[in-house]
Amino acid sequence: MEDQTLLLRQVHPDFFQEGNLLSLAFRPSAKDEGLLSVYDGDQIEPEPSWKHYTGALGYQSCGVWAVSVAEAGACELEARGDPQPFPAHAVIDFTRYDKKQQRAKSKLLAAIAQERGCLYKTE
Amino acid sequence: MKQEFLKPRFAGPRFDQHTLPVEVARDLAAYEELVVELAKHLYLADHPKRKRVPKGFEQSFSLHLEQVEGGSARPLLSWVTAVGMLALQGIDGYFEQSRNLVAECVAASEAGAPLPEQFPKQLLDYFNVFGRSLHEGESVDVAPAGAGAAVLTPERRKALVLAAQKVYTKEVDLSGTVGETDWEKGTFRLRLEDGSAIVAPLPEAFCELARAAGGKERILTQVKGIGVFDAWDKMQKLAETHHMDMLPNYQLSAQIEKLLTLEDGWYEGGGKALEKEQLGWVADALVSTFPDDLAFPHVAATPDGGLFLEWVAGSWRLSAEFSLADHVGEMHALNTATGESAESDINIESEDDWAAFYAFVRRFV
Repeated sequence: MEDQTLLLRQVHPDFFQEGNLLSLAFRPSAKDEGLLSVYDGDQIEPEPSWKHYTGALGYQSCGVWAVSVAEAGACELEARGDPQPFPAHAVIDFTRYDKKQQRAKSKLLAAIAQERGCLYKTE
Repeated sequence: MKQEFLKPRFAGPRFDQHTLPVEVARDLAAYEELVVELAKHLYLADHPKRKRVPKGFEQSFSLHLEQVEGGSARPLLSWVTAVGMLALQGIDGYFEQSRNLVAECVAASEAGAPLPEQFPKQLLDYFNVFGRSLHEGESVDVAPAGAGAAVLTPERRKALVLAAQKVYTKEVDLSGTVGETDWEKGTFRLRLEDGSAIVAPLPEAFCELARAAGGKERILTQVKGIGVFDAWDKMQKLAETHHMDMLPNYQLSAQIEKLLTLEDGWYEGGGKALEKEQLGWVADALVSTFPDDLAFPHVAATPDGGLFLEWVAGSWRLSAEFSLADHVGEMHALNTATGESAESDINIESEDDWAAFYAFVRRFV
């Protein structure tokens, strides 16, 4: 992945409200063990990623937002490919940070992604 | 003296237990009045030289609810005559005629036929009350024993009333915000959720509530009463206000209530459902103390079953997370442009705790 590679994040419908992305959308949950799942934007476009997430994986997403590898790096978050679940899978690594630090990082990522705008949104 | 008069058959889910909801008593009282008024009309039609019915005519007729029988719900209405009224002469049969004519009138409506000629149009107004407690899908058969069916439904009741006048009434349960109150006229304006507004009577008992809720967009007022509708089912006004209740900060309350519908697995197959009793406790405290001048937060559940609030105000993002069991709010604010941040863990047990909670929020929102 390059610096400009977009890391595509699927957003649960509850985490996008009145035009605002909640920071929960960019925060790893307990089962993620600090690794926030994203799609490698060099390998898959936003719409197909949404179709894969909601179709093959069967999860809920109201749309796709993104931060770049460089933007994650500016927040001191490393991004890397993780093709084990499926080839376009990547992660943003929060494992160095405790719960409170993860809160701050997720707010930064949500603000950046919101600024970029939605890349794919369902009706 | 007592004799069986009618066993109306109420049908619909509410009557399956062979019981009669108390509110139906109003309908039966209206039926009794209709029978009396129609009997008077029939008597005077037979005695054109008389201007009034004989003394004691009305008092000789009184319906009593004796028991409720099965077959959906069939209240036995008995005609009870006071001993002193037994001697009243010349009125035999008018109340039975009246009963039968009411049934014919209902049956005609059911068949789409013209109403019986003997039935005066002005008495159709009684159907504004008789049958008003019927919900959609419910009916009452008012045919006397041995006669064909005479089934009154909400739709037929409406048609009967509209045959004589331009409007009809029915029970309504409305939600909206209270606008201006006209204390002199004893009315208030209720702005409904669809943006329309209606004027409603303000009974003395609800004046304080109207005063508290008036002009406050964050207070949802629920009103039960009698609405006046035109033939196109458009509500013209509220004719009676029976009950009012208010729900402060209802938008916030509604957001939190939505979280109660989340089930285990809601987030990527692993999100935990929120513990309902604990959520209820926090929600009640939050909704009842939330300041009028503070913007509502976005509300969500965390995947591990906590309550999450987030305000986005300019470059500031402020979140509050409640792990529901321990009554602690974890607050964190970050200016995403400058990196400035603040955090605080606040107990949320007492009013002072909530005051501290809101004081923290106000620093950034």
